[in-house]
Amino acid sequence: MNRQEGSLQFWGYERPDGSVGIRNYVVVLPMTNMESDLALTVTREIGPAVTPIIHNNMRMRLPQDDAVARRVLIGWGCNPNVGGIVLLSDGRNNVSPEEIGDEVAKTGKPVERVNMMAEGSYAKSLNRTLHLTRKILSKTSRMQKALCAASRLLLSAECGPSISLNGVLGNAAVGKVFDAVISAGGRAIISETTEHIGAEHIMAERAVNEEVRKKYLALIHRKEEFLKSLKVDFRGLQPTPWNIATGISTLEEKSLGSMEKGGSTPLVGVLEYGERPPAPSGLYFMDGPGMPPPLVSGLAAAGSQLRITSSGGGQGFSWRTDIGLTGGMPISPSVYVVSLENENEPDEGEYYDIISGVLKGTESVNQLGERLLQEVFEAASGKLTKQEMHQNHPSFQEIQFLHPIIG
Amino acid sequence: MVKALIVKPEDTVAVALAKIPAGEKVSLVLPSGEAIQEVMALEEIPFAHKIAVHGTGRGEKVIRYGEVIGLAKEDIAKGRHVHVHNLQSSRFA
Repeated sequence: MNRQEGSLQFWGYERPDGSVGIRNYVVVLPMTNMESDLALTVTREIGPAVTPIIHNNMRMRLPQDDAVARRVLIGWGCNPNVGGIVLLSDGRNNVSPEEIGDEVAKTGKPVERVNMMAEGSYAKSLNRTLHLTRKILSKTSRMQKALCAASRLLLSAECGPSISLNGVLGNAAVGKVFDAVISAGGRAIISETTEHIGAEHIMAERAVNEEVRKKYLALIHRKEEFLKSLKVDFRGLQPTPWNIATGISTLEEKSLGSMEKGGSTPLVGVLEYGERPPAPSGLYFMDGPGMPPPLVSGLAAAGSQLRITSSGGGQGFSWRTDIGLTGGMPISPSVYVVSLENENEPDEGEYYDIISGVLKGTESVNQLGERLLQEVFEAASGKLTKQEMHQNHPSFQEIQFLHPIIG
Repeated sequence: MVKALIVKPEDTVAVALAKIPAGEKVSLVLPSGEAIQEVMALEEIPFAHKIAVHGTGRGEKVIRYGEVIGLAKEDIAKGRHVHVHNLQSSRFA
């Protein structure tokens, strides 16, 4: 971490639109599941310099879900960690590569498109995609990093498996990192809408003005009504028996523990799933599920360069399943902080970036937060996170759609 | 001495950082690491569960994170285990 004149800085890739990437991926992005095979074949051919994003958009969705797909695919392309992008279309998609590409091209990044129907054969499509991907690679691989202010960061947070202590340890440390980055002029996003149901009065008090307060409460209410329409009373389900066994007594207590990730600054804005926040510094709330894979898809679409995953921990044995659980979104690396050390897993350091020493008595919660802040800035400057070093398979990204396929 | 973490000085409960046997003295520490008070556990407090750091009357607010996490279902003496048996949500009671 570079501290210059009291400010936090990191080494990143400055994009033509003023955003800053902490990685420099060339992404091959299929519009739907139909072009996944082509994307994976291109990746196998060119190697790890290319990142495919394989996901669950497909044809025959309702118009409101086409809008979700459009927002998320544009958001992924605009994410500052993406240096250039090749969009693949079969020619019969629910979202067109023209509309996605035109929006992404506004950032000034190189954008290319391959229309398989127009190419006329799979072999021609493959050759064309390989050519265009290599063309972009020769541009992005020349880019140099520059020293950037913390104000250029858009952090985000998610929870892994929760226990009573998360709220006061890992989540509290995330909150301290958010406070530090926001006070330096940066932005941060929390989400997990269902974690807020029942304790929305607390976050509503933090809204910077009446408009934000109303928007936040309306969003929580909308999610609750949606659950009711499915005959689910979410308020009756929380806290879960697992939460109670670990010491959480009430819904408010569980929600407060989750909200600790948001630190202590005012809530300045409310976003739809995958919506990019405006420029002003501060804490934003994005509509999203608690389950990480669709959550991290939305956070990456919102433009977050770096995510912090906070978990109870003590589950090193399940690291490989944790990648599935916490989401392996390739364009948004995650720094993983765990609250508990597991005596039975001496190699936990192989899996997690930061293991709390509070229970061992080797540090205070504030010191844990300071250590996490340093790790976040090192990761922002290019240090590979444990997740990046362990993820050796192309992950599948779940986009949160509202409705099933209807056609 | 066993420690319990108290997030805000005004909290009425703290979280045990290790299992606390009945009759043990507990040191209450803030996130800064500063110890502010000692409490004697009146009963065993399981790891990560809550201990009352001062008395709370029936129907009164129980505070953690500086916020209301629920209401006392009965009088809770300082040093007691605070959980679903004596604490209920203030929103959906």
